[in-house]
Amino acid sequence: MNAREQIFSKIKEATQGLEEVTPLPSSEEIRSMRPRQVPTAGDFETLAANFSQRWEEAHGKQYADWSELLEFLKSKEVKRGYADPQAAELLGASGLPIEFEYKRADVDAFDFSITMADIGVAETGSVVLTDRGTSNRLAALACWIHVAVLPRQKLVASLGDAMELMGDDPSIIVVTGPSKTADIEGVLIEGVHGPGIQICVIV
Amino acid sequence: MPKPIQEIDRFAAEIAPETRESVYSASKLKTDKRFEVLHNDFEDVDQVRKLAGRVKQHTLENLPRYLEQAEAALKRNGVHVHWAMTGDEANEIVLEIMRRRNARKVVKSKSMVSEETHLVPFLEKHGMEAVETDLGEYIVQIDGDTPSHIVTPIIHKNRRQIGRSFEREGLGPYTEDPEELTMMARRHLRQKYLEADVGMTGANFVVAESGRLAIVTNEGNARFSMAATKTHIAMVGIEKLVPRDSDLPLFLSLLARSSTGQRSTVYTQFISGPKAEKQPEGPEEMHVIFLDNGRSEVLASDCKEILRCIRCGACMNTCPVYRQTSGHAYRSVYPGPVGAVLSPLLNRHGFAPLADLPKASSLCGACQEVCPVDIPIPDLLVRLRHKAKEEKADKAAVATPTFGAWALAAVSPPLWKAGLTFGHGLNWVPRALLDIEPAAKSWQATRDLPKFRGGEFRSWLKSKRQGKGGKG
Repeated sequence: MNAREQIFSKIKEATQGLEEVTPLPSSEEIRSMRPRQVPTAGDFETLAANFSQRWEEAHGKQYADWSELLEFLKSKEVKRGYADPQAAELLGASGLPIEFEYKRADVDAFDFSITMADIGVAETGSVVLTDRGTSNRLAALACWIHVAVLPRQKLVASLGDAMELMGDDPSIIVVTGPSKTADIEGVLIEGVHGPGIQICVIV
Repeated sequence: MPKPIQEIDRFAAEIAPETRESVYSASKLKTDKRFEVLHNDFEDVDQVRKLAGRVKQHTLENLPRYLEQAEAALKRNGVHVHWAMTGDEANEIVLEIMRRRNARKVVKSKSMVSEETHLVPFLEKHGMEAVETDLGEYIVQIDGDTPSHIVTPIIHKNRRQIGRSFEREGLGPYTEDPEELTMMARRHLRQKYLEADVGMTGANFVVAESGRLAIVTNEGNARFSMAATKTHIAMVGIEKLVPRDSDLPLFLSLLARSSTGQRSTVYTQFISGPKAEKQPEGPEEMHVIFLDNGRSEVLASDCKEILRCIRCGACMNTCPVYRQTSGHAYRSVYPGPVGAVLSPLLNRHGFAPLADLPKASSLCGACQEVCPVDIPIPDLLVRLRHKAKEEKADKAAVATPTFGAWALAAVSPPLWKAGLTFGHGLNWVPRALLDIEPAAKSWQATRDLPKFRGGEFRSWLKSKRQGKGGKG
């Protein structure tokens, strides 16, 4: 008997007669246990206000448009940046040296990166990056400053709503603020492996 | 002759005061944060915990069906699925995949199941380089230590110790600044990711219907390993399943709030297969290893509820025993209340060597109260104490006072009543005299004996009944 057969024979025996003991709670019941953070109204203003509040609670930064973002990037004295051409175009990015190719050999050479977000979640203040919508996984994580560009119609109320839009994308990441650790004496430090500064611009 | 003492008590007695202090304050802080955020965010937290518990219980009771479903979904998504009865088998599968891919280097995210199988030392023994990438686990690894908490592995270390370790390993000059220390690790570890062939992770949940793996980190290390390497291997326990994608929001929101008091973990990944075609980075090949390692035995036992556990660590944070002893006192991968149940059951050397762990509890019930899947941990501890007694496990019997006289009185109402009456006599005995009895002496060494007030409930009940015509 191989390992698979052994495991199945043991768990089948262990669960015999138990199948009906605990019924599976319905998806509606699960959905009804939403945390308070899920906005009840679905209009853009409500969703955007909720999103911004949660995003900032998680120490994410948000800028209204390219000129605000440009000012911030300049204050950080950035030298080199990478962008997904689509994201750069949506932002109308200009006035900074931006490259459209990201090579792993240059992983630390870029100060910032700009890529697309496919969904924004108001409940948690998160941006969702899909694999098909992200031009380069490494670029979206390795730079100290990451900018996620979120089209305004992609904002949803809850994580559950976001999951329904995920389809069969093979690698989705829900990002809520900058990379964090509190491993050393519980002191909160940002920028462990991923961005130390996580920005979102809704376009 | 040295006085017999439970191993966990010896550990607690010998633990360095500064370690006890870090463990105590960190776990208390997390308990408070958890309470605050959960009770602020949900109307009825208990209802939410119980609902999640029912989903997991249902899944366990139907595990064969859901595992088959998950396997089919994963295969449909282009994932290679493997099965392992034991930790050794799982490790061999990892080694085999690495050899076939000509891989030498693996970067690893934190996963308790790979601690169970001792994967890193196994791979090193076979000439592979395996690097832990979670900051805490990395420090544990370079120090040749073991994690003392399942969420915050170095809760027992302070910044000075970490500064010395980083200096020794050549990460940079000595510093006590947590931020500088973190940046040193950032610089060091990103080279490791880029050089690695394989990214190794566990999974927090596996969805049966879609084959999605949910993996959460705050640091972004799992994502980095899946952005920089070409092969992804996930090792998961067979109990990690949930039936539907729509179950995930409930579990993820409970997990983040229960473990660190966050509303959402910084990075929540949903992985269902190798990278998308157009994506330039990330794994071209993905493997999932389903590991039993004693779980099917637990499923067949009267402690199967422990398999609902989603590894949030809330039970250890709140446990008065854990706070005093730290995780290492449990001598196993899983410390605290969950470990006191799970560790003796999963132990590769059998139940007996860890049979004392179920006794490391006052049965106060705090663990069940905070459990996001409402595991009746105190009940399970009592069942395991019974098992230890049945199996005559010596470890469990160490330093247990005899209950002979008490047992006799407990089954005889007149004797019990007499005991309560004479008990009041204790209030007139000088404390010093009581120290003659060894059990009373050890008890009094750290506590004041309260005034004996036995029997008051009985007389209260009696008067109540008389007053209300016997219907109290």
